[in-house]
Amino acid sequence: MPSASTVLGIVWRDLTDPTFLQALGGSLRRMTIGYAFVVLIGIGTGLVLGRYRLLDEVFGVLAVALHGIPAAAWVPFAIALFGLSEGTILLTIVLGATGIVMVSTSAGIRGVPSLTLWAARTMGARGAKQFWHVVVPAAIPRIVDGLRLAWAFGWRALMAGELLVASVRGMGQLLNAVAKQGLVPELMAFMLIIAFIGVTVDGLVFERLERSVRVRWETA
Amino acid sequence: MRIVLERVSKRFSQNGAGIEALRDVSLEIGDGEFICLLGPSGCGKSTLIHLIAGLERPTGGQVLVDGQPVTGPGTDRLVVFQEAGLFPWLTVLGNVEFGLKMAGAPPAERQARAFEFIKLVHLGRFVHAYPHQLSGGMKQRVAIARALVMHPKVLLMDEPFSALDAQTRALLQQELLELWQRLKITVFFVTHNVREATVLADKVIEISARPGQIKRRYAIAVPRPRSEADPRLLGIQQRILGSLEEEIAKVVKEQVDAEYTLAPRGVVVPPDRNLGSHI
Repeated sequence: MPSASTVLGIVWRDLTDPTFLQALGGSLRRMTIGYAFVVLIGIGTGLVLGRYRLLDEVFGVLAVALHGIPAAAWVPFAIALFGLSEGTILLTIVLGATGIVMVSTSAGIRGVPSLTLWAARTMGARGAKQFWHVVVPAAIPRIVDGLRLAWAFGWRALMAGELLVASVRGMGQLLNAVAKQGLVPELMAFMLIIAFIGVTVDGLVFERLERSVRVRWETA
Repeated sequence: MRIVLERVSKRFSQNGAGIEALRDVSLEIGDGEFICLLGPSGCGKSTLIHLIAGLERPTGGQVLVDGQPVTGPGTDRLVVFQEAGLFPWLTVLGNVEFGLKMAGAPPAERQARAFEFIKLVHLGRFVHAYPHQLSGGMKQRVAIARALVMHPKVLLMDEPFSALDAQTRALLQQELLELWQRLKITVFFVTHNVREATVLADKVIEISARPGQIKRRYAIAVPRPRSEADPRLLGIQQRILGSLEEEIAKVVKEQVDAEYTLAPRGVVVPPDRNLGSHI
């Protein structure tokens, strides 16, 4: 086993190495684009499924089924569609993380407290107005839960995709390269960085967001 | 304006079993009246509010507003719920102007009207606060303001003060009476608290344990402002409490133990007791 100081030394070397930073930048860019698709598609379809019970009964099962497939298992499917390209990795992120946003959004729409709906209806909210002004904002805590999980799922999907599509420059490619050479300390340094980014984004962005939403919604 | 309930009944089915919540309730709410509906927990008081509000439909009889049967909710009948039910994503101002916004009022007009009613409930300093920053009493003030801003024909209040501490409750009762006198509104107020009912209402309607039926009506002819210690009120409170205890015994019997008995008038009620808050 390499010592902690060796690994941390390599982490420092990596973070000052332009090749490494380029790879990291590529991964983060892919993650951002993929996640944007996840948010748009997940919330969009979730709202539709939440609103129309019949659609939810038909496609809700499908959403849950998709959600049951690990992101890594999507990679061969994505490769079949897009080849060994950037698109394959994006598709892997989208397939791996959209389901949870879809399911939590539609559950949020369904789970709006009756009291909120009663208050809205007595004050004259109906149909589309009620949906956009009451139901959707009331569902925000559940939607945020979904977005937080989707970040974690997406991050895993990104790595799975990049490991298998080794021609695209990114963290996955570097991992593959050092693994082939049997460079365990380098491998550990990479993994440390990957873990750090995953945890930091979760803590700095999502945990805070979730907490502020909880305080506001649950103590109202 | 007149709200008339004609032999209104409501049955629910719960886990396959039928539950009769209300049976043959007939009553009338006249313009400018302050009526309290009083009864033990689980006697269908909230259901009655929901029926008048149009959130539920009766299974028998009908609810008429100015002779027209109620077919759904409307801003002429607004509800203040026990838990304020404010929208947490909106400020006090946003909550109070919500109904006007749904009605399509232009922003400047609805804000001006919302401000007016926020001041009326003394929350002028909290216009831009969010519900989670407010105390329980303040939330109920917002709930009252957002209802009154719509100029409803009747304000339906479903145990609005029962989750508040005693001082806040007494304060809000007085303020509600002031608003009622000043704005000439009609209030239909549900409570299980005998003292609250007698301090507030012109008429108290006592409802029995399930199925909820009207048991007795009491006219409270004591002029306002009323003192809680007014001997005339205490007399009425004793009468109501005696009658109510029979109903509570029925509920307890149903919930706890069929053998349970409460000797009629066996409970000595000191005059300074917080009548009914134990129910």
